Amino acid sequence: MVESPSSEEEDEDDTKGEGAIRTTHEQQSLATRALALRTALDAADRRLPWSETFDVIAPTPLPFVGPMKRKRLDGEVVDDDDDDEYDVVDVHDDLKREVAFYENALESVILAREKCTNVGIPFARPDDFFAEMVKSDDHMAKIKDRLIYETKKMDAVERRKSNKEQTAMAKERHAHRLSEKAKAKKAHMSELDDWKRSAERGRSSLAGRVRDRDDDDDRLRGMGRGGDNNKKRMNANKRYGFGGKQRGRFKQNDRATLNDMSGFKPRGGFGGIGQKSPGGAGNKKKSGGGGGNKRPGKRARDASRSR
Amino acid sequence: MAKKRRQDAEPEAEIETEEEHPGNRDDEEEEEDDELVSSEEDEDDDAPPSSKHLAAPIPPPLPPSSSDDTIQSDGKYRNRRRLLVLSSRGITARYRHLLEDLRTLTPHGKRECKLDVGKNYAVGGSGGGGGYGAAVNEIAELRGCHAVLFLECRKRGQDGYLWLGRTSHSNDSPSPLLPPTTSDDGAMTDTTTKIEQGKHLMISGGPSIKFHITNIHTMDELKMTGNCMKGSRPILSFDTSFDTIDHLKLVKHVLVDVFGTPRGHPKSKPFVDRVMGFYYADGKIWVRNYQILEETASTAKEANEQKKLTGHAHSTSLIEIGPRFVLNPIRIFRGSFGGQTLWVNESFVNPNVIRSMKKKEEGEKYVRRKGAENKRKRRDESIVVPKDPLSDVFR
Repeated sequence: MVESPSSEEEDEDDTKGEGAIRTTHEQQSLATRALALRTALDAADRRLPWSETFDVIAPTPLPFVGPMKRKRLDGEVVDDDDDDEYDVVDVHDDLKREVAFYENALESVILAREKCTNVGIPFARPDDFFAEMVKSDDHMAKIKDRLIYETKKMDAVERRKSNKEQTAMAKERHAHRLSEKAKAKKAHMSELDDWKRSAERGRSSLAGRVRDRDDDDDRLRGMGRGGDNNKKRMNANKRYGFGGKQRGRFKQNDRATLNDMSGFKPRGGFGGIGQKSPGGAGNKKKSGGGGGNKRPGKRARDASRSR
Repeated sequence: MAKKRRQDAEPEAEIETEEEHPGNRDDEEEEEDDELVSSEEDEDDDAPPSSKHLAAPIPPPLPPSSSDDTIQSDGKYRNRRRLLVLSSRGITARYRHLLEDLRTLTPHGKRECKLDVGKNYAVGGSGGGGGYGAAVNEIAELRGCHAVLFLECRKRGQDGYLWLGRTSHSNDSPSPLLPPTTSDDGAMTDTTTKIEQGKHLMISGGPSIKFHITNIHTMDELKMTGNCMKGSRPILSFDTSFDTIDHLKLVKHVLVDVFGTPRGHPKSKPFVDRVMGFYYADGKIWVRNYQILEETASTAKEANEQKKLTGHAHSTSLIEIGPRFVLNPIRIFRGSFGGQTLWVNESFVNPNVIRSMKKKEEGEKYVRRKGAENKRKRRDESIVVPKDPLSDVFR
């Protein structure tokens, strides 16, 4: 039952050789193999004191569910299945796997430390013990550089992120402030309207006994108007009454002006309002509406020039 | 043949001695150390292999029994185990770096140049046709190594196989051809392995394990920020499956032999600052190497508070040093690089098979497409739309 592994591995493409190995495997029953394994196990144990081997088995099992463990769980009672004791970790989840390994190693380190103190092996290196290290100073400098670079990168990213956040916040705050201002203004105006309405209501109920300041204003304004020298305004007022605020009405025709063609001049120019009504006394105005025949025609002007 | 190999190995050993610190008395070559203790052994390199076997390098304080359970652990270099670290020819850079890392982590390791078995060890060659196994065994014999770490590369560096095992090197068996009665590691005291007398296979010793090595990250990677003293003895941390599963127990023994630094080794350091973790997960053995960082509180008050909290006056944390890799055990042999198979990983799929399947899959893409095209063509031909009798009526 001697197999040379090298020859077996070397002709792995050779199907014939593999078949031969397969048959030898079949011949070798599993029981014999297990027995051989156990014998070899006994033989392999060198029974060295712990201080020579330094091997530790961490008592907490790894939290992975491998094919072996799952098999055992299926065979056993279900209460092994709930993950209260330790949560099950996927082996291929890099981060969690490494954490599990780390925890396991840490546990055994603590155990080993105790054993070391029992045996009398010094554990921690004193600060004044200098020794050659596994990684050279150059290499460690590189690692340090990288760490610094990484932290810098992280910082930069953080700063950028926070800046972005801050600007967004500032924008929002500004918008909020504006809207608040607008709201306040609106509220103020609506309050004012309310007050106005209530004031009006109060006035109507008082039947004109109370006068508003608004009326006074109007009157004052009217007085001011009456005092000025705008003849056109005065005429218009005379004709149409006071109605400065209604814009459209001013230019509307009435019965007298409808068929009045006096202002029409086929040669151009516009007759002012003042010329419309022939009987309108003092309707002539100096500006606006085109100045009638102030300027002679072109021919007349040429003639006068040549003269 | 053995002579030739010895000559090859000679300059390597000299280089190694040069590398060591001239000032440090402790950092001497182990063989020389051996001689200091057991003075009757003559010059190592000149001695023929057989004389080496006859001269037992067991130090006088030890009782004459060769079994190891009598080793007294008094801080001196008692457990004289040497490890042969070598690789096959044609390894890629990643494997080479890994091997270099493993060499720095194993101060008891002996360096050997890349192994090219060539014709001598091929079937029908002068070396007896043992292949790598025979060659490695012979080198281990010559260098006086008790354990082997052999990194084998196949398919142009695509697949790495790590062999770990105890070699047949035993000081009590004068010739590898004869079945050993007792061995240095005590492995062969009660078990006898049949050895084919005609073959130069030294399948005594053992056990040996073949792993498929994957997911390699070397120490050069800048993500691993830990550092430790060169040659410090590692704590070998195993998870509970190494205590419950039979074949893993065996693996554990071998791992302890390979990665554990013997106490009091001249190149080792007296303090402990690293832990090597072996974890059995997903049917594979995951290997991690951490630095142990112990921070004691600066003031007594803080220390007191910490002691109240954790029960220790120091806080322990770990930083990964590297390298990290995953070992998928393939097969365990009873002997060194051969012998009865003790365990086979049934779920192991050869990477060749995976690759060929992948290639086949890619090749089938064309066949499938062509098949689909033909099928469609045939269907198009078979489906004939019947003529509508009313198609001409309303025109």
